[in-house]
Amino acid sequence: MTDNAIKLVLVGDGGVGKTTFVKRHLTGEFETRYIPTLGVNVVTLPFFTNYGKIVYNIWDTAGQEKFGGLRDGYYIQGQCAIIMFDVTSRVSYKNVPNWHGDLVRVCEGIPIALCGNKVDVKDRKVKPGQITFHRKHNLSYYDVSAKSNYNFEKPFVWLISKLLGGGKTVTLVEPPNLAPAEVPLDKELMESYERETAIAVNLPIPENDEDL
Amino acid sequence: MDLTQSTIQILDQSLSIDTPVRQNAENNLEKLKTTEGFSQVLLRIIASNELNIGVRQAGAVFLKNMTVVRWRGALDAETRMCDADAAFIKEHILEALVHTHKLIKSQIVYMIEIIASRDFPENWESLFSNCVKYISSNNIDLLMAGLSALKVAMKKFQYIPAGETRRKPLFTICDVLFPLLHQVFAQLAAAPANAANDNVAIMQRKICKIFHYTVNFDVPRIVVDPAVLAIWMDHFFRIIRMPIPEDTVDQEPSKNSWWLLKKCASRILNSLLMKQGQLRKSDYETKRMLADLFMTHYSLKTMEIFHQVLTERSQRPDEPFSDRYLLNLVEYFTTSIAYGRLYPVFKPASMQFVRQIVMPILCFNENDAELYEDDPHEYLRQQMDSFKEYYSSRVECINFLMSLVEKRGRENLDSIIAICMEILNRYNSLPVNQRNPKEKYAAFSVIAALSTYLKKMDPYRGMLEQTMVTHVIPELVNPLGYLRAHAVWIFSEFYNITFQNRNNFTTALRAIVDLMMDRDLIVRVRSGMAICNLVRTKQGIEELRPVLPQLLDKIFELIGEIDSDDLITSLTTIVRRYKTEIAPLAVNFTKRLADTFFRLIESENDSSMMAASECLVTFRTLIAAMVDVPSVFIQLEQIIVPVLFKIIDPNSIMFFEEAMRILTFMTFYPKVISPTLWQLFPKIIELFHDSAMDMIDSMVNPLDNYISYGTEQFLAPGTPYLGMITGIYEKMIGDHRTPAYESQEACKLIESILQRCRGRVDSIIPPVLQLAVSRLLNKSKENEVSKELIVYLLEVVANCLYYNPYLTVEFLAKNNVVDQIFTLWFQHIKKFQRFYDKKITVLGLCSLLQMNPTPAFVQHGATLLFNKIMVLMKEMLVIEKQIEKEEAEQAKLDAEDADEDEEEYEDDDYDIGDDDDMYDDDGNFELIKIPDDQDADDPEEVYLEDLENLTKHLEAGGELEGDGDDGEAEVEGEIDIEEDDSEEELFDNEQQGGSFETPIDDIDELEYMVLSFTAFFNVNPQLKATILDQNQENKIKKYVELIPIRKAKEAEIRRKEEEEEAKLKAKHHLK
Repeated sequence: MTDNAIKLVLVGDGGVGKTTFVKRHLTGEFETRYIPTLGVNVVTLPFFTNYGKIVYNIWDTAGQEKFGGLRDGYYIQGQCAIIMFDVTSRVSYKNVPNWHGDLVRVCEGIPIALCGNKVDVKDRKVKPGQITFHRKHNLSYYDVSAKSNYNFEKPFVWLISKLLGGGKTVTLVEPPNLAPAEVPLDKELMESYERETAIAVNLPIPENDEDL
Repeated sequence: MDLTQSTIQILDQSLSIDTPVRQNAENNLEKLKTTEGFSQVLLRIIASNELNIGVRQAGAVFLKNMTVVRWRGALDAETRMCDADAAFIKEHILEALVHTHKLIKSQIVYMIEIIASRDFPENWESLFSNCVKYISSNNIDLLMAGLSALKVAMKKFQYIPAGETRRKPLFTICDVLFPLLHQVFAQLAAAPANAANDNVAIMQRKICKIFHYTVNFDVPRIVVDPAVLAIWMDHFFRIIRMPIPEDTVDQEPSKNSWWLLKKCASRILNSLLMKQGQLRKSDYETKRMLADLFMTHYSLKTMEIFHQVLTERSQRPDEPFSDRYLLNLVEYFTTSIAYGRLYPVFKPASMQFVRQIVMPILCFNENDAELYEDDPHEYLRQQMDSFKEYYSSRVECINFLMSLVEKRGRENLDSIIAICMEILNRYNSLPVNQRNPKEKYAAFSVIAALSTYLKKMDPYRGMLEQTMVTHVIPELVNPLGYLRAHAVWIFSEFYNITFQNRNNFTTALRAIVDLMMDRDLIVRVRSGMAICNLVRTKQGIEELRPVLPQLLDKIFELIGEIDSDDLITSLTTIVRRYKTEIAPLAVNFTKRLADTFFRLIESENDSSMMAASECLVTFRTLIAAMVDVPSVFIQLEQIIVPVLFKIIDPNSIMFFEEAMRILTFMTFYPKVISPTLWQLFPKIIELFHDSAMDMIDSMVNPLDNYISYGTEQFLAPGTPYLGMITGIYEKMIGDHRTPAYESQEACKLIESILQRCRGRVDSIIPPVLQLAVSRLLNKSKENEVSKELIVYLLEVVANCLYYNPYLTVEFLAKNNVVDQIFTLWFQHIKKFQRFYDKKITVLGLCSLLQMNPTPAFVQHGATLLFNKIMVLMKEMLVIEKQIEKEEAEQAKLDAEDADEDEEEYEDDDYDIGDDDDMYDDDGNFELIKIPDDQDADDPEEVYLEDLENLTKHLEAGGELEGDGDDGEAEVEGEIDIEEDDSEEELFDNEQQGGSFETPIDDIDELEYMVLSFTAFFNVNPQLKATILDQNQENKIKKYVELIPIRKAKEAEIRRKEEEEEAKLKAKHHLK
């Protein structure tokens, strides 16, 4: 454990793949079974960037109510966060606002990345065009796939650049030490998602819809 | 170490990254949770500012989570928090809010909201008294804390309806609160407005919201005290008038507290104005009083102030302005138009308002330009669903103009059009580089919005062609994409005006077809949509015929680029218009449509769902167009069946009815059921049992077709089909609580089996009868019956008799229900109103007569039986005559029509003017005239009022008119004789004219009857003299003579039909 590491809070519904996602980096094993996280697991991830070595302590929190432990108590002193949902589960996306609400009540103004996991699955239910939440709340969105390493580093790199501030361009000087991909990704499919996501970025943000 | 010290330590450890340390802390917290006094300790820790923020936050979050699950009223309650702890929290939580860190505040406010929603005010009186204390203090922190807590506590009142006891405490609260809030309002008003004083805006907004919560559903009496209301109004007005602090103008309006404050105040003023229009007789006195007070004293003042703000804004159009606020300001005027008190005052200024305020908002602006370039999809979405998701000031401006015209008549239409024409003429009179295309865009928008009026009213309808030629058609080639797209849209809106010079239409049509290949997506899509309207005209059909394949290609390409139900509507319209030409293209076309459909249902957002559902309509149109071309039809089936397979599914229930409509076509026309189609059969049944029981009416037609045209496969050994249908019947008839109108659908299926599988399904007769009889004879209240269902169930019995009288009689006799069933049947004989009902009854009863030996009960009741049969026969002959007569008339009409236009084009979808009164003698549409000083009723409101009256009437035990005796019969669950109901029309909602085919169509009922009579008397010669009277004897003789004549007629009809069919086939063969 490193003392000056960055505390990153990882939240989202149970089963969306939070633990699997962070474990890719550590053990190189892809967990195919689902073992619900109890309370929280903290894991340390180093990234080697053009601004030096950055270490994250990732607080991988329980998504399921009944295994919640301290729940939003784990968010305290979080410096950045990732909200994760599963693109094959609509309800996991519908719950994003709840996770976000709990997060900002505890950590105001921290950078938050939104990640849609499992984009390798062919039967995608939440399409890029439907993912709009991040636009209203100034988050950054990434399609990811824990199984295939797709975009693994993207949210981490973006969060570093936000934390460093001043619009710095952060790049990795060393690729993260990931386990080899379990599934080859359909490159064309990913490119089409990227195009769609790029379109979605430009959509104007609807004004605060609270009536008063 | 005392509990506080140890808790601090545990909380601190709970933040540790060191897992054993943290877990140990968590375990300790879990244990402490239920310790009495622990909540008090936590609250103290939260409130002590000396402690490190992490510890305090950990305490706050932990306490908040305890509140959620352990406060009384929690859903998944763990052990409840002990009373002493709860009391302590209620007493002190507000204090904790005052000086604490922002992050702790947000947890505390959330906690207050949770507790208040369960306890406030009855069980938490101290919250109110403490808030009052804080708000009355002169301390800004206390004030903020008091207002924050009060705002979340009062939130619950906004949706508690008038008259509920839960609302009562609110009135006492308001009496104390309002004077206080006024005092605070005054202080805040006096504070300097600047970026540093953001809190001043935030607190004022909280006060405004509290006001809104209290008056939203019902109005406390203190609000209608004129002096009190005056103070509120003054503050709202002040807020509207105040300038945005200069040092905040650069902030994004949607995040700027001062804009948000203004928006809030404007919303409140708007809803006060609307209250007057929404008043209903049932409203409580104070609500009416508030509306009256507002109308009398403030409505004009508000108008004046809003007008002033809008005018100032129009003078500085480039400065940032909250669009939502702008929308609210304009909306006030839209609402005002309907009020007799306000309109006369506004009227003199109205056209200046249109010029100065409305038109500039409608102009093409910077944002539009940016969007047009950067995100054409979004641009189109905004233009097309403007009334749903993209409610903007611009949409509100169009609402305003429509309201002026619809509610206040002709004069306004003329003035608005004059303003538009002025813009258009000015544009044309200037050299190109001085023209203002943005303004022309606005004029086009207004003209399109008013198109339905312009097309129907003199002198405009005579001038439209010239307007198209002078102002619209030239812009189809304007270098500016947005103007090209707008011109395409306008022209397609006016497609159905009369063109004196056909070349004008041709020019535009060609230009639009070319624009389907424009460099801009927006122009291409607009053009593709325009085709839909253009092929509705005769000239359009002729001129587009040669390019049809290319046209379809282009539209499909566009559908690939953007999900749009409008584009698919274009396809449907084309198929409808070019039935013959489409045949060679149909297979390819259908394939592409199926691909499109699969892509659309994958994306599952609203617009693609609408587009997908439009696709299904196109499939149906295609199938319908191809029924005479069997070779194509069969290929279409291969493409469409997978589509249906996919959507006959619980997740696609919204497509189910349309799927069944398509399937009806596919199972009916070929007169055979292919193996591919049989795959769908079990899917339908499965869905029926899963979730679609109440959709049985849409399944009956296709299922009947399966039984009718796939009889062999239906009965093939080892297939489940027969059992599946009887399973439906068992479920719908066997469960007596199934609604009658749904149960009757199951009877139809059984009838179909009995007739199509005559002699081959003996085993189902007893169970089918068993279920029908027990439903018929069940007199309990639970039994859902209707007159129609009784008829259907008795027809099941009739069908069984016709199927096999021996089996049927055996069942009835064994169960000892012969008497009951026939008594019931004859009591209800007058309800067998349709030709089919009478026919199956005659066939069933005659089957009894054919039995040998004749059952005893038939011998006994023979007189009655003969009598009933002959009466029914007579009625049938009357109906037949009538049908013949109608057919002859129709044929004559058809012959006359043939001279005129060969095809009748689809009705043009006018939204207005269905009322004949609104036209004068020349077919010129006239707008209604209401004196300016009278209210123009909103039809929707009138409707709501009616609905409310009706609800009351029903609640008071009243009944719907004309439904009275029906209701009674059902409530009683009786199937007794009802006196004279022969006049009543049953089967109202059923398809008339027997669109279904059945084998009994080919049976001549007259012949069948005569044969049965003969058979009966052969077996029972002794009865001949006693049963028939002379009159009846004579009739039968006449009938016997009629039989050969009828046969000859029938043969003639059949010959003609065959001839027609051959002709049709030959025609297609030539193609």
